[in-house]
Amino acid sequence: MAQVRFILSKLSESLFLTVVASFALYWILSQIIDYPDYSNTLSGFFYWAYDLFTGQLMQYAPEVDVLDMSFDDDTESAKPIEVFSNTGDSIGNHFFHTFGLSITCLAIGIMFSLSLNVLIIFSRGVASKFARITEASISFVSGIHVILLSFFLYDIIRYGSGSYSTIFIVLLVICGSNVFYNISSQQHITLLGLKGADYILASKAWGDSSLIQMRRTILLLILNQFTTMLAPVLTNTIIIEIIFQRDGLGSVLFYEIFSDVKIGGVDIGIIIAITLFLILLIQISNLTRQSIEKILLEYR
Amino acid sequence: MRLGNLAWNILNFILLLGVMIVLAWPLVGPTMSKNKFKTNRKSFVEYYFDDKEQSSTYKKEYSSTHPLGTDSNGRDKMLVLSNATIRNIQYAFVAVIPYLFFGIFSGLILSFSKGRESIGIDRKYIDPMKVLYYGVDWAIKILHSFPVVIVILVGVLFVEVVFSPEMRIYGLMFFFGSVCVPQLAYDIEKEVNSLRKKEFIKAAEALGVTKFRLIFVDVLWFSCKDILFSRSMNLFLAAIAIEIFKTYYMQSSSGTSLGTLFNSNYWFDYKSQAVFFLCMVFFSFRWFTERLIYDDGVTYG
Repeated sequence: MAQVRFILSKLSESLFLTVVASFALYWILSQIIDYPDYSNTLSGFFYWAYDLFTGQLMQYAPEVDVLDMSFDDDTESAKPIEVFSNTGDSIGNHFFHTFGLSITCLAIGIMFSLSLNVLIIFSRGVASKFARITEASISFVSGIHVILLSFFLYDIIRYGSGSYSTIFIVLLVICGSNVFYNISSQQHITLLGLKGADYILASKAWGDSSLIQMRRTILLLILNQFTTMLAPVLTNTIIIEIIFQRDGLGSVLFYEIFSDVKIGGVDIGIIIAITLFLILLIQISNLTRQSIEKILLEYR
Repeated sequence: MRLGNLAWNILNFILLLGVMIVLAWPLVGPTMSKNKFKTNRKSFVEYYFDDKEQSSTYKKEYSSTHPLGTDSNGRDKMLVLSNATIRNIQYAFVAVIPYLFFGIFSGLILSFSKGRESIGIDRKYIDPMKVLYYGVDWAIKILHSFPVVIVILVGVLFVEVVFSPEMRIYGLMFFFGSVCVPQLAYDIEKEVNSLRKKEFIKAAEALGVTKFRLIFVDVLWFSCKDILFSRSMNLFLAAIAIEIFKTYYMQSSSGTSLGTLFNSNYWFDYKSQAVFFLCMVFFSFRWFTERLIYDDGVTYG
């Protein structure tokens, strides 16, 4: 009962925070950029959010095809901003594309780093040395910001369509802006502590499997890293999507803010919608971490 | 392992020395002598980039007067790189200053205002410190919920509309530094909460040490020094990267910066030098910060 109460209180706080943060952005952007369809108040924001989720929110600055001189009704009419659709051109689909790439890269990064650290700490010989050198090299590169790493590899990835460009993108997402360094150093400290822990030594003395004793700590560590590193990895993914023009939220944001092709100015509705989804995702991941930690720590 | 650490320190020291030489090139380089006769210009950079006579020359390879050679317009690459980096350092400081100011202020408010007994204030009135605490707490929570990439993009939009072209990059840096404070504030709060249980703090309080000294000397300088240095350096380097990102997509009207060198007009001439130099800046600055914080050997990676 206490756990349910805790989760509900955290859920309400997360939702409240999402609404307040989204409204703050809505208010600031609609102050500086023209958005005449909705008023610049809290009620205007709620009407906007209602229209977004019911599929009635229209693009404020529709794309005009300058080559098409037919002036058909279709080219002039504003398109709705779809949250989800089968065509693949909706915010929800772009969101899941970015989210999927981020989660995949994060999972690869955490597992790769964990394997390296296990080899460094629990094994000896050539394998340990090789793991140590690999870990140090990737951590070294990880110190560079993802924007710079992307520009360094721009020529290779931008015009490359093979599998190596996908591998480079995954590496960029994992490494850039200290992500790998943070993941690896946290794992190193935890595993080093586990190696010398009394209960692990005792389990070894009893002939019990050390892995069984370690699993709760390692599970909590992985869970913690999945939820806390999601925001930086998501940021890396969006930056890479912007720079390399890959499908996802990054390309949508690039089109709205930086693109020379777009006519009619910035549609702040799309930017706020994307931000709302991202804030909601980060809040949900924080809530998941707090809830599962509470359940796992109290579960015996 | 000790030999490895030594080699690592020497390598980073050489990189740092290289960065320092590049930064000092406008002062120590032979090309400086030309500028002494033209003092009516606003700055050396503007003089150098407007010099028609100089731009009519062709690209040259390395020489003693031009260690990195000259570009297609005959400009000394080392000088261009140096001036661009100095400009970027200026921009980055515009981000770091509000970051430190707002971050320390928020961290101290979160640390010292929570659960404080309101002595001398009647219960029916609102405790101003608690109101300040809740205000800062929610502001930090709201800022913390925004992903950094959204902060950058909204910042770009904001400065494009609100600021004049000359001030846009400064506005973006100030905005970026101000919005990134939550992590620093939370780190300071965490450190202060751990210090509360330490005996030397209790002893200092018992000895009658002033609150000013306790907060600014014992807490902020001796205990939070490593947090402040490492976080500030991270933001400093991120600000350099963001300037490059912004200038690459939206040409800034202000002088040449590192972002301009990544532009297609400059990229052909400066590609390898700019990339290598930025790597040098990132690695050596990080190493320098770590040496400043830790004195127990290299801890990178």
